[in-house]
Amino acid sequence: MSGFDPLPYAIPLFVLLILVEMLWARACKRARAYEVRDTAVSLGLGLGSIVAGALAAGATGALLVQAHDFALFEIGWAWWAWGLCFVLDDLAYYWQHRFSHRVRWMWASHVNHHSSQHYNLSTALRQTWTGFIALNFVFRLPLAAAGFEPAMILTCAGLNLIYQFWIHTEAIGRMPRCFEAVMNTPSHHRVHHANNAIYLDRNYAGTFIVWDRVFGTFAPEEEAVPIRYGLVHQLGSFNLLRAAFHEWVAIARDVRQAPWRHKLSYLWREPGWSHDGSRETSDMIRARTRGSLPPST
Amino acid sequence: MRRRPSLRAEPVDGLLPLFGAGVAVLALIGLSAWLGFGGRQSLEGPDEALALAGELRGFTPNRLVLDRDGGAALVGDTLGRIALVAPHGAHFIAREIGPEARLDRTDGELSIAIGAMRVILALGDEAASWESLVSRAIAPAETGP
Ligand SMILES: [Zn+2]
Ligand SMILES: [Zn+2]
Repeated sequence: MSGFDPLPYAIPLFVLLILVEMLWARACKRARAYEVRDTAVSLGLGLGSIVAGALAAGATGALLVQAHDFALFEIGWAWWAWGLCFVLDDLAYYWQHRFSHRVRWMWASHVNHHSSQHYNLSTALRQTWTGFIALNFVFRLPLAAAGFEPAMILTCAGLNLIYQFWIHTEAIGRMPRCFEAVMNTPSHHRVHHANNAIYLDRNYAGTFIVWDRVFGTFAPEEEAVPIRYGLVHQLGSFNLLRAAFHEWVAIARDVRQAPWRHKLSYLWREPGWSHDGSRETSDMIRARTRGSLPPST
Repeated sequence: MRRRPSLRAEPVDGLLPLFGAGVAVLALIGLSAWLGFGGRQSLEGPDEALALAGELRGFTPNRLVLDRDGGAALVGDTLGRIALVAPHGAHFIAREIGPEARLDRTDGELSIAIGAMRVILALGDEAASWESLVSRAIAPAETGP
């Protein structure tokens, strides 16, 4: 049985919803909701990610098949396997995403999803070009090794990505309470894209927000804290290639300049780590900001 | 013997979806330009500039000047550091002014360049005093014992 990639079928829906959101922003006089060069970079990253994904698909598939060969069970294509696979794949996504924010090698691949100062449906399409090099596939191997069909895993991963499209919007405030409790929503994911200190490294969820609640990385969107989107050090460029590769270039520069015993740390430590303390990690920013808050009365 | 699963995703007629997506992308970029999502925005006010500069490490703002049209700002801190709050698309970014920055003044305007970013601030009467503040941030005077 061959795999099914749902992504191409979702593209017309993506385009239609972006069009609707642009008209909404225009009607509501939200002049900063979209910016033509930002939109061009976001959509360009989306197009490029389709090509990059196609190039890496063969190798990713082969690795999943290898892992599947070691499986103790053959789960096969039973109907219940689809639901279980989707949920476990979402758990795998949570950890992949969490590592993508906490290990600089993986952050270099993920940063382009966060480098826009806008938060709209086009932001959702800022997908990576270098996910394979960042080793994202590693997090899916346990599913194949557990006996899930590799093609089923990839289909579930595609469906997960499609789910995450609609949550990249400011047009929706909050969903009903029970929905917000279980599912990832625009409100939860706005927090993830914020660069406010209290929101850094929070809400890694793909489809189910429950993983963040379980593993202690959940933060609710606070009415009193207006969100600013983007990176702690904003990229400040609308160059597509810079958006795709700037952190890889920065890693290469740091590794070249660092003393020998620190070189590897610039690959695996968290973004913002430096051997001489000249930069700030998200933990340092959180601590600094907590310290500067006025004492509560 | 276990059947080796095939992983070939069924292509939706090869490159056609990519071509279609490319056309759709161009159409959306054109639409966003047509709807007026471009051009310079103004800062919402001093608070936005102060908040952006205040995010820089250890930066405690204590003075500020807005460009006449609110299109950029300079923020000073208690240690004599200066942050340039510059437009970037519809939003703004804060960058600390350091040795790599370049500064020019003509009448009431300061032109400040940091890397590829160049901003002209119309400051009127305040241009001269901010010029000296920015100059000191670019080349701090040696303070020996
Ligand atoms: Zn992320
Ligand atoms: Zn996102």
